[in-house]
Amino acid sequence: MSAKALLHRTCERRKALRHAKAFTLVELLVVIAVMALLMAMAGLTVPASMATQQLGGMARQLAADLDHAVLLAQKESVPVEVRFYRYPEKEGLGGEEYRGYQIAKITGWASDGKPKLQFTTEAQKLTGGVIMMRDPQYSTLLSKTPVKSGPDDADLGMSYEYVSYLIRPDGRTNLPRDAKTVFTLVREMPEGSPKDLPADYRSIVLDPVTGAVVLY
Amino acid sequence: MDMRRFLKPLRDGRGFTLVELLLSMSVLAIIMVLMADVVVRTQNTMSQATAHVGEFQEARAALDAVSSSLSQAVMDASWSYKRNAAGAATGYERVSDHHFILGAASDLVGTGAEAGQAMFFQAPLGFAGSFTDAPGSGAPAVAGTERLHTLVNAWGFYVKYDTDLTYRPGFLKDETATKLYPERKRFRLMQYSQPAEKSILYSKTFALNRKTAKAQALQWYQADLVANSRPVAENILAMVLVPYSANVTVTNSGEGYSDVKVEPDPLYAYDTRDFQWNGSNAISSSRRHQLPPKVLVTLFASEEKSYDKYVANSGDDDDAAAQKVRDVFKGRFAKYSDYEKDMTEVEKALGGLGLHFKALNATVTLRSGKWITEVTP
Repeated sequence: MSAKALLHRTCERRKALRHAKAFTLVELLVVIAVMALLMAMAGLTVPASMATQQLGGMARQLAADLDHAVLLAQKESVPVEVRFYRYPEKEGLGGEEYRGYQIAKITGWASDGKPKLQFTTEAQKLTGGVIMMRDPQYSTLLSKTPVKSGPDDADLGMSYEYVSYLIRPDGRTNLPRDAKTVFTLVREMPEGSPKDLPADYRSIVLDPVTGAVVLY
Repeated sequence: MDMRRFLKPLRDGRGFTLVELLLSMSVLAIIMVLMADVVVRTQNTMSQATAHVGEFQEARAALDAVSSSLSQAVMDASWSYKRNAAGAATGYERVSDHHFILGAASDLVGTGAEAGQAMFFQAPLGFAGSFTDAPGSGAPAVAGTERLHTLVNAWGFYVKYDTDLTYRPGFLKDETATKLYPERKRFRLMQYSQPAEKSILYSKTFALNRKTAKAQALQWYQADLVANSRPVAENILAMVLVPYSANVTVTNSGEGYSDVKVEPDPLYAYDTRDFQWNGSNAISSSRRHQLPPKVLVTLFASEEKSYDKYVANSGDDDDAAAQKVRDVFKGRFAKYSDYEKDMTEVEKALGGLGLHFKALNATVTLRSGKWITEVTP
């Protein structure tokens, strides 16, 4: 085939393509690029904002439950114990962290001095990888030595540790009066509880004398 | 429309044009935006419904706290000889070492007082154990002090407007934290809870029973009011207290009895030691060392979400927003005869500010309150 004929054929093909009005590579690339850009923009913000939402939701729930615990103690005129559970996540996805809590009425005392508990609800679990920040500076109650318990009670189905505080019928707690009590919820890191305060956290400040709960 | 017209070009082997593709993408985008909008709306409704359940929970708990400690207020009054100037016994009179005072917050709290009333009293609440900094004691806090059930404490409630930074732990006060969670200047219901070992009430040098100046006498709580006050609930805009008293309607001194009627105080005030500073009169002697039989407690409570929005609508100026709330209560609840009118006007004005609020109330019966009045002793 001569060079002239080859050139002619190429021109013919180009003409034919233009008539067919299909995509050119450039057109396709533009479309794909636009789509990728949109997806990337959505993809970047959605999980982060969902996680923040979830963290906020958990914190609101905990704050409401702590408020409820005070109200329960006042209404029923019994001491109320609030327990925070430390256990690993069942699927083995998370380590031993404080990721659950439960509220119990104290109905009496056994002969060995231990309180008789009546749990008002089942154990509330912080889901979505939300845990309590381990550093006692951010979760003051965690400076207490945890009590080993389980696996038969608290329907967690495994051994666990817990720390707790008591609310008296007048709303007063047995927490140290002069220190500020705070619970901080964060998202679990691969290494467990983050060492330093992450950018995304919610804190609940509790007044040890009045039982008042403030969410940040 | 004829579908074949749209399908035909494909059969010809032609593809979509860029314009067609972009058009379909934008249609898809619009549909997705609409769907997302529906989802967000549903979520909002859901969260509002959940929030509604827990609404005013904090305020309700606060009202319970007020009720439970107020109902336990004690006077521990007893009869003792009434002596004349020469020290000779001439009759009997009621004596007590306690003091129940309820009145306009501006009278009782001093600087920083808000609208409505405040009250201070004694109750056996068993609050102790701050020996570390008690005067004259360097001993550490004793664990056993948590079980002194009938130990009498000085107690009180009032509304204060201040910043929440005071109540935050250190890490929530730094620059990054305050950017994330800005300072909240709010009206709060405060509880004055004095540990028993800090009380000067029974002190010989203080000598409450010999005080004739009200300002000096009130030092039993005013001296450490700030140090021993803690917030019970946020967003309590005002507390209105209506004390009732047992007033004599019919007296038959010959037979030694009287008929009484329990009525609200016309001026929203009750002071068991009024005779010490204002002299004996019919009212002050009928209330002398006697607790009111009941008190109507009303808390005007708002919700944090709503108050936050209200501040934002007021140009993010906390203090200006608070001033508007104060103006609503200005001059209100001073005379009981205007109670109904004040209530309607305040509710109207708060609604006008766009605040979501509730007036929660409870009638608290004081267990050791007085329901009878003796014929002039």
